[in-house]
Amino acid sequence: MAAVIVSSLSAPMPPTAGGAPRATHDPVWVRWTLTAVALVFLGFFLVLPLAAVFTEALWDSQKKAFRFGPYLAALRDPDALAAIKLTLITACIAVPANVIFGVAAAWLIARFQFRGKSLLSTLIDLPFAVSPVISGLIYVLVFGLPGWFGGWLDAHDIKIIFAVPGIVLATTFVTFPFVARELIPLMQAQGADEEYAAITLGANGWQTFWRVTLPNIRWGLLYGVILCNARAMGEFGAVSVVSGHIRGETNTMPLHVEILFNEFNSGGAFAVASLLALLAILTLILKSIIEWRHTRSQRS
Amino acid sequence: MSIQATNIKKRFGAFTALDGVDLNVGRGKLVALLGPSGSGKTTLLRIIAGLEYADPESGRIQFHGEDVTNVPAGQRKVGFVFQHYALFRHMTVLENIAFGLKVKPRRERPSSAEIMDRSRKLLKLVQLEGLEARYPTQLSGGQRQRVALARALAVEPKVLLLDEPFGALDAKVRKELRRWLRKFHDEIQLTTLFVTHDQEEALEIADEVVIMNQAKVEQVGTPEEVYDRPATPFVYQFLGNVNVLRAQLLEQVGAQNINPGTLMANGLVYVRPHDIELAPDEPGAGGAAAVIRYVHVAGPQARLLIELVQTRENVEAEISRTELTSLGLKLGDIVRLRLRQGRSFDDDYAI
Amino acid sequence: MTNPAATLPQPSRRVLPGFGLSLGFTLTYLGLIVLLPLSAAFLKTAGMSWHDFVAAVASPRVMASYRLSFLASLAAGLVNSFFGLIVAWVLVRYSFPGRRIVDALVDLPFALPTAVAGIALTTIYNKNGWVGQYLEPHGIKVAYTSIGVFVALTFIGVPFVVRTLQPVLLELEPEIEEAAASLGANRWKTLTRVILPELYPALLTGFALAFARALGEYGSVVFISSNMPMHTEITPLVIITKLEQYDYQGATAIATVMLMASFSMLLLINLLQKWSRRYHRI
Repeated sequence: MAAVIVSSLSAPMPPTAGGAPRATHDPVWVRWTLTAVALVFLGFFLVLPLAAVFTEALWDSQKKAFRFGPYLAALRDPDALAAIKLTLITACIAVPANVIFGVAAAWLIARFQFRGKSLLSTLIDLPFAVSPVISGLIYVLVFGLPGWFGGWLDAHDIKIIFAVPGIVLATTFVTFPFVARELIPLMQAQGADEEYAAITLGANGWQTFWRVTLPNIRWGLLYGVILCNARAMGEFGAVSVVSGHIRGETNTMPLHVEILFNEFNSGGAFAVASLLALLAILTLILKSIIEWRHTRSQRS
Repeated sequence: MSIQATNIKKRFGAFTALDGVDLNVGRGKLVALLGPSGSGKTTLLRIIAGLEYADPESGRIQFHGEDVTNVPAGQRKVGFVFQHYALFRHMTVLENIAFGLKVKPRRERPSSAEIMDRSRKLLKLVQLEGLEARYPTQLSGGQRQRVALARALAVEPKVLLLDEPFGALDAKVRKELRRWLRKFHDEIQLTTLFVTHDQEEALEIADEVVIMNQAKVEQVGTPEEVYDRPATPFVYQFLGNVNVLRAQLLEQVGAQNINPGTLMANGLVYVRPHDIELAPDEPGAGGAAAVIRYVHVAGPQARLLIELVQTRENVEAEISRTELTSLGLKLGDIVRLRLRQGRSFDDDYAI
Repeated sequence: MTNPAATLPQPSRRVLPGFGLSLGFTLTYLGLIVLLPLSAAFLKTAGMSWHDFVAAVASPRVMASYRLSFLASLAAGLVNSFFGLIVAWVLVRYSFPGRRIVDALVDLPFALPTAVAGIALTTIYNKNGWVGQYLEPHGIKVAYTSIGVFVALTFIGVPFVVRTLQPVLLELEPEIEEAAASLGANRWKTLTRVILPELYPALLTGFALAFARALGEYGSVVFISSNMPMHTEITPLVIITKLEQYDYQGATAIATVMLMASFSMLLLINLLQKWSRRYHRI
């Protein structure tokens, strides 16, 4: 099933407290060398870009001084504010839609036997296999002017492509599997006994769902929401195709970063980028906290 | 409240779980559904609870004459205790017990004070006072089991169904808890059906035992009946040890209580090890000659493996330690073997 | 659709509620958001003549983009496999201060928007950048070259190999190594004969995931690449360029080729995961 197991609560978690003592140790010099290689690799590819974002945003290398004034000005710019607002609106629609879908799909797949179940599971993962650019393109083919409904939409003066609805749709597509993919293995692992117990005790379907199922999956759900949200706010390729790149109107934060960077306004680009980087760091922290809680509850 | 199930059938794809099973549980009885894994016993229990629906061509399920075949699980008024308890892990012990009362429709629901009061009474009944604020993960297996029982009883069920109630416990707790359950049942007098694969458990506490094998009921009876008078070769072998001997030997071994009428020419005789009598090999002694191949003494009993001289068949015998000493038997000795009792079955009962 | 149960008076009944509701909602939503738009790409391509299709997907410029996308993704995948193995090993087996922070940081490429990664990498590797200023004097240009494409694709692929290997390494019983050691194998032999063979399926899965992701990547690459046709232009960018020229057919044809490649990878990864679980599941 789940083709893209990358980061999931249902995967075994690393031990938290420094790893279990192993009887078969590597020699000290091997340990030091490998640790150093790993850290240098991660340092070059992960830490350096992250540090660069904040340095470029806040440090003026020519004047050798912090540049808080221009930083705040770049964020207070009306176009930047509009981009932030559009990004939030998009996430506020795409994430809840995919949460409802994810819960429904998990209930369906983890609680019932039916024909075509494994095909359905594979189809849910499909958007992860599609290039972001193509994720945008396919909506152009459906709703764009040359697309299936393009003529009709144009005649009724409804804009989807190069407008906010297109951005929301493309974002929903690229974040489609996140919640479902998190909840399905979790609910399968938990089994249906608690729901059956609630049913024999006289609870109806909604009572069973709200009082038994939802509390049991709440951490997995939150985990899926966090990952889904990070991707929804940060999506670039798909949104780039369906957005008209109209400043203050159809630019999300990542698109605004692109425009500023291409205009050689590096400071402004990195100022907006630093907000997205903060979101990424927050995402990683929340994710780690949930994983840690999960490991702890698994052990007790 | 009694339970009647008639002609229950259930197939999962190509696998037949239940092949026309009938079951009757008398009012206030404690009945064990006993069988090896895959025999269909848990499926039957779940169908009675409404957690599974029987195939449409099946007969009915009735509680005290009332047809519940199509009644949903939540309205059947059954208390169901799951093998792994299925306690709500995010609720405390008290919240678990109160759940069934809290989800009742508003007009049937007792006041919250009464719900708490009744839940506390149940907690006391299962002897878990003081643990109401604990979460299921903070309890031992035996405690969880009793919380599950209290939770099932809270909705005042008419019948109690338990799926392998002691299956997940260690040997010592298991023994304690099953005696406690028997006592508990005598106090509350609730019609109870429990599933187990452990014959010792079933024979010890049940009023009646229903033995299942391969989707069918093999025998129903009191523990004495099913142990002493097994109806089929399967029951013979499933309940305790048994020797299977060829019937031609019968004359030599001088068996009593074996009805020759049921014996086919190539029939087999089922004999429990403790129904084998051993005597010293003296001139004139009856019975078949056999050589002692192995002696194992554990506690008050001695188990011997002996080989019949004539047919080279191996037979397991169980005699008391005192008898072993008084007979003075040791490895390699020749003894005379007789059967106290045994049974034979028609060929139809091939195992 | 010959369902024997449907002809019986009582169709197969389900004890838990919500089957119809969740099935209906799931299929509708999946159909509208995913299947309908995806089918648009295939239907549009099916409407093209074979000649037009080949002209669109096999022109020299497009072929050059396949070559770059394929080779850069392959290189990034290989580099990630090598270093990912070391990182996963270090994170699972050794303890050092800050290990949990490093572990959390591995997921950064999932959390950091690709555009942000793109501009950051470009800034680091251009001729005045933190790393670029030391490389350019030696004649190594990273930003605005195909090496830059490789660097960006390596960044976005970091978590895949690490995260597929970690659970497998955790489940690897130390007894196996102890057994090998007690049988007289030295550490190197234990590693190459006992541990690595157990890791190969997961390593290959991680590589395939990183490779597949790199093939479709756009955001981080467009900044660091000079996007020169025939030289530093990746396939997703060709699609965008065609779209900007209103060549919807050409863009869709290339997209269809990429979709076929992605779905083949998805199938391959599914098979790989089945294979990698063969020792662990019954």
